[in-house]
Order: sequence, then structure tokens, then C-alpha cells
Amino acid sequence: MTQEPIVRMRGLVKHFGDVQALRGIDMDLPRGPVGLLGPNGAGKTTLIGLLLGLVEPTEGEASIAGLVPKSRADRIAIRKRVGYMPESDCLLPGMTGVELVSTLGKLTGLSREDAMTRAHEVLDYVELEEARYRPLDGYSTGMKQRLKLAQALVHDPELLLLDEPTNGLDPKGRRHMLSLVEDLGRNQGKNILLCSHLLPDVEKTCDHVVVVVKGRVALQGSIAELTAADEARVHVEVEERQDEFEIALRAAGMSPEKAPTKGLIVTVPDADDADAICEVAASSGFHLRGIDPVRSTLEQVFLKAVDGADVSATGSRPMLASEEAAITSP
Amino acid sequence: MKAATHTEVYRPFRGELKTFPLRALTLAWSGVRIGFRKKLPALLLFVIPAIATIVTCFLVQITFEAQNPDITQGTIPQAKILGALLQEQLGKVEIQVLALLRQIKAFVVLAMGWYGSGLIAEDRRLRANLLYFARPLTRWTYFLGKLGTVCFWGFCAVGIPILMVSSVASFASPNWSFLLERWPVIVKMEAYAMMWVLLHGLLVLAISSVCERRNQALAGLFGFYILTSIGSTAMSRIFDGSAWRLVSIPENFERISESMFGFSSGTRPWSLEASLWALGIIVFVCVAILQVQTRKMESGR
Repeated sequence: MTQEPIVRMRGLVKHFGDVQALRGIDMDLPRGPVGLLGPNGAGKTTLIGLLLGLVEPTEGEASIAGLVPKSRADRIAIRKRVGYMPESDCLLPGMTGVELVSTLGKLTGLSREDAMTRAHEVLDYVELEEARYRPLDGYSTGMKQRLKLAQALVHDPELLLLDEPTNGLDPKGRRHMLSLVEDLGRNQGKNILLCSHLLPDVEKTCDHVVVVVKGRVALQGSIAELTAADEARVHVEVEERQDEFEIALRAAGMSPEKAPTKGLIVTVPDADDADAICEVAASSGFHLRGIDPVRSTLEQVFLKAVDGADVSATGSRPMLASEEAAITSP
Repeated sequence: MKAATHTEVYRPFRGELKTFPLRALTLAWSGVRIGFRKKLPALLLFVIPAIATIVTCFLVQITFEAQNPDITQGTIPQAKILGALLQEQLGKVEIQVLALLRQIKAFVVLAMGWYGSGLIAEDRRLRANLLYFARPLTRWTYFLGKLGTVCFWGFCAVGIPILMVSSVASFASPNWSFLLERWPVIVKMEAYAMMWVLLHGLLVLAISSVCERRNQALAGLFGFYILTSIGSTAMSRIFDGSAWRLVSIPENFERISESMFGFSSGTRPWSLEASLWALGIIVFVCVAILQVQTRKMESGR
């Protein structure tokens, strides 16, 4: 049986004066971890605001778990079921970690005792041990990010909206945060909408992805399907004499290219033509080490989705795996 | 089940969320707790009101002692004269309380400004509004919570001294007569103090909501206060019209106190209604500013 989508949007339009933030969003977010990708100004934050009922749509409607944030009562009901981790620092100095989380728990509707118990439980979960009794002024970026995750979890919400959870984290902190998000989504069965600039973060933690470009959904689907094997391209490796094998393939009417790491990428008219590569190898005396269909990366899928959009500046699109690796490598 | 990727386990919440929790009270109390951490400002801001309160308590005690029949109807003429003199000089308890309020009002505004100026400005600067409004919190609840925090400090600076003086008066009066016969005066004094605190609380929050930082809000509060007080006095002298003094918040409160406690200094010739209108306009403007600003904050701006 197909599960009811956790978030449903129909014809969602939002204008801020002359600026069109959303231009008709239609999407069904399945349960489980979902990544929300898009260049800066694509409308991701507006989308989150609409889901929380903080911003009212110009047209269309969005629903969370069947609730439409139209009336005040609905907005209140929705916010009880949603946990939001904002991108900005947003933590008040002067409070301790446990005070902040328990206070926000009480504001959500937990009793005093429950709020304190839950605060300790979620702070344990995010591994803020004795630091929970320290004033927030002394927290590192990693601790602040984990605290923000803890406050989003304190009332055990049905849906978690995580806005750039790995923002500003060092590689170790980032790994830790991703492991928490992955655990929540994959092991604890939490519904997560993860907004991130980092495609590898989404690839690691989410099962589905939605790409928003210029206020429209450019692409959505499961990562497995979107990056499914492109059977027209195969990766071939031979034991030795790769250059000669390349010439032999060209002579057979194929167009091989050197793969970024090792071997050749061969574009074949049909998947069945992979047999032709084997025949060329056998007839010319080359020993094939491997022949695999090439899978698209999320990066390629994303670039394909935003193709045609005016993404001129590097900073205005999500960070690609190669760029991200250059930053995070020690 | 233990999570594979890290050491701690996520525990789902099995309880229920309350339907009508006192969210404004929670928010107000969290603000008060943060304020309690700042001990040095508390010492500096409340020590003068505390000393003034203790002195007033002594004066109230002496006033009632002077009414003692042993003195007023006694055989020592010097004691009789002294008793009558003290009664004449010190007057009624409410007069002494109003004198106390005049002495400490600058410190009360300072205390409320110190603890209240950052309440909305810092929330917005740090974008803590995103944390609050992502929860089932209405703008009204947020506003009441913040007002509760700032009024708590105002109550500490004004309401508690009045209660202390009233208690001393009750103990010192013969047969608890002050409490039993003149209790409406205690209620009136507290109501007057609360009105004072509420208006200043709204003013502090309204200024805080339009400022980027706490220090700006504090400066803005004192700028407003000094400008309206000094400005109104200067304008009334230049143009020789008392109507200008309606701009001053302390002048309006003085006029209200004259009506509430039944005495007249003769220096404020305008009507009580005019003062109420003047203060009402300030309240209206403050609430309107807060409404607009909290609306912006709710929508994440």
C-alpha cells in the first residue's frame, strides 16, 4: 500500500511585492528523508515558511500530514507536529543548552517534567554531554548546530525541517551531524526535509530529492531512480595497453573517452552493444578487467535539472562534490 | 536499539502535548531567568530603590508613632509639638509612597530598560524569532511573554517597595487600622504602580522592536524619555502653554496620582481625561508598533 505523502503542495504561488518567490509548486513529498536542493533564491526558505504557516501563499495550498495551514488553529496544530532547525545561529546567549531545549519544549506544549526529561534525552542523543549546563555563549559552531537539532527534536515531531544542518561545520562535525540525520531518517523513521547546498550531504542522508529552481520544481524523485544506470554508457577497463584498445574501439565505430580516474567510458547506441565491446576485446587480444554501466551522480542529475536556468555565479548554486571535497579534505 | 552511527540512542516521546499550556508565562519566566544571571546590574540598579524604600518605611513607622495617644495626649508638651510637627511634615502614607516613586523613577526606568531593551532587539538580531514562531506560539503570546519579563523587573522596582511600605504601615498602625480601614489606598497605590510599569514596559518593548541591538534600544528609550520630558518643559515655557507638558510621561502620571489620591499641587491645570488620552495615545502607538514588528518577525523577517 502506498503511504500518504507527508507534505502535499498544489499550485503554490508566493509573491513578495514584485518578486515571485514561488511560481506554482506542485509536489508530494514521500515519508522518509527527502532532500530539497536549489540555487540561492530558488525559494527553499519561502517553502519552509509556507509549510510552518509563517508565510501565507498568494495562491495554492500546502498541507502537512493532511493539515492545511489556513486557520490559526491549523497552524498551531501543524507546528506541534513539525520540528524546525533554522540555518542561522538564533540561540539566545545567557541560557544554558538544557534550559533552551526545555524552554522550547514547554513552549511547544510539553509539561515541565516532560520538557526537562526530553531535553536531557535529546541532548544525550546529539552528544552534548556536560556542555548542556554551559551558557550558549561558549558553544562552538558544531555544538550550536547539534543544539539546534536537539531543540527541533524535543517534542518528537512527525516532520523535521532541517535548513543547512552542516553549515559552517568542520569535516568531523559535518560527519557527526550527517550521521545523526541519517540515523533519524533511516533508523528512527523520521520524516525529514533537508535543505542543503551540499549535494553529497543529501546523497548520503536522503532517499528522495526535490530540486527547486526559480520558484518551480525542476526535478523530483527517488535518488536511486534519478541516478539509475545510464545504459547507453559503459565503463571499460582493460588489463594493459589501454591506448591501443581505445584505437581498436574507434576502428569498430565506437567513441570511447578516457574516464576521470581509470579506464574508458564508451558510449554505445544500445545497451546490448556492450557485447560488441567484448567482441572487439576478444578479437584484438585485450583482457577486459571490468565492464560496468555508468550511473549518473546526483551532481549530474542536478546540473541537468538546472540546465537552462541562469546560474551564472558559482556561489549561487549548490556546491558540487568536487568543490566540496576540495574544502573538506584535510 | 542502538544507533549504528553514533553512541547515543534516540528515544521517542510517549507522552502528550498539553492543549492549553501557559506559553506566555514560560516565555516570560525564561526571560526573567536570563536576567537573574546578571547580578552586578541588579545590584547597581536596585540598591538605590531598596535604600529609598527602607528610608520610607522608617518614615511611615515614625508617622504612626507620632499618632500614638501617649504622645498626642501625653503630658510632655515638647513631645506633643514634635508629634504634631511630624504628622504635618510627613503627611499620609500615600503621599510618602508617591514621594518614594518620584525619587526612584529614574532607576525603575533604567532597570526596565536594562533588562527589557534586548528582549525583542536581540531576538531579531540573533533570529531567535525563528525558533519561537516555528512553535505553536502566536504573536499575542510572544508579546505577552516579553511584556511579562519586562514588567517583572518593573514590579520588583516599584510594586515590591509599595507592598513593603504598606506592610510597615499596616504593622505600625494601631489595631491594623491601615490594612482594615484604608485598604483601598493599598489597592490604588498598587494599581497606580502597575499602570506605570505597564506603560513603561510597552514603551521599552516598542523601542526594542524597532532597534537592531540592545544598546541602541536602551539609548533610544532614554532619548525618548529625556526628549519628551525636557522638550515638553522647554516648549511649555517658550510658548507659555501647559498643554505641552502633556507630552511628558511623568507629568501625566503626576496628574493621575493627584486625582487618584485626592490632592492637588496646583501646577498641572489640565484635566485628568487629557492625561489619560495622552498616555492612551502612547499605549496605542506602542501596541501598533509591536503588532507590526512581531508580524514581521513571525514571517521570518
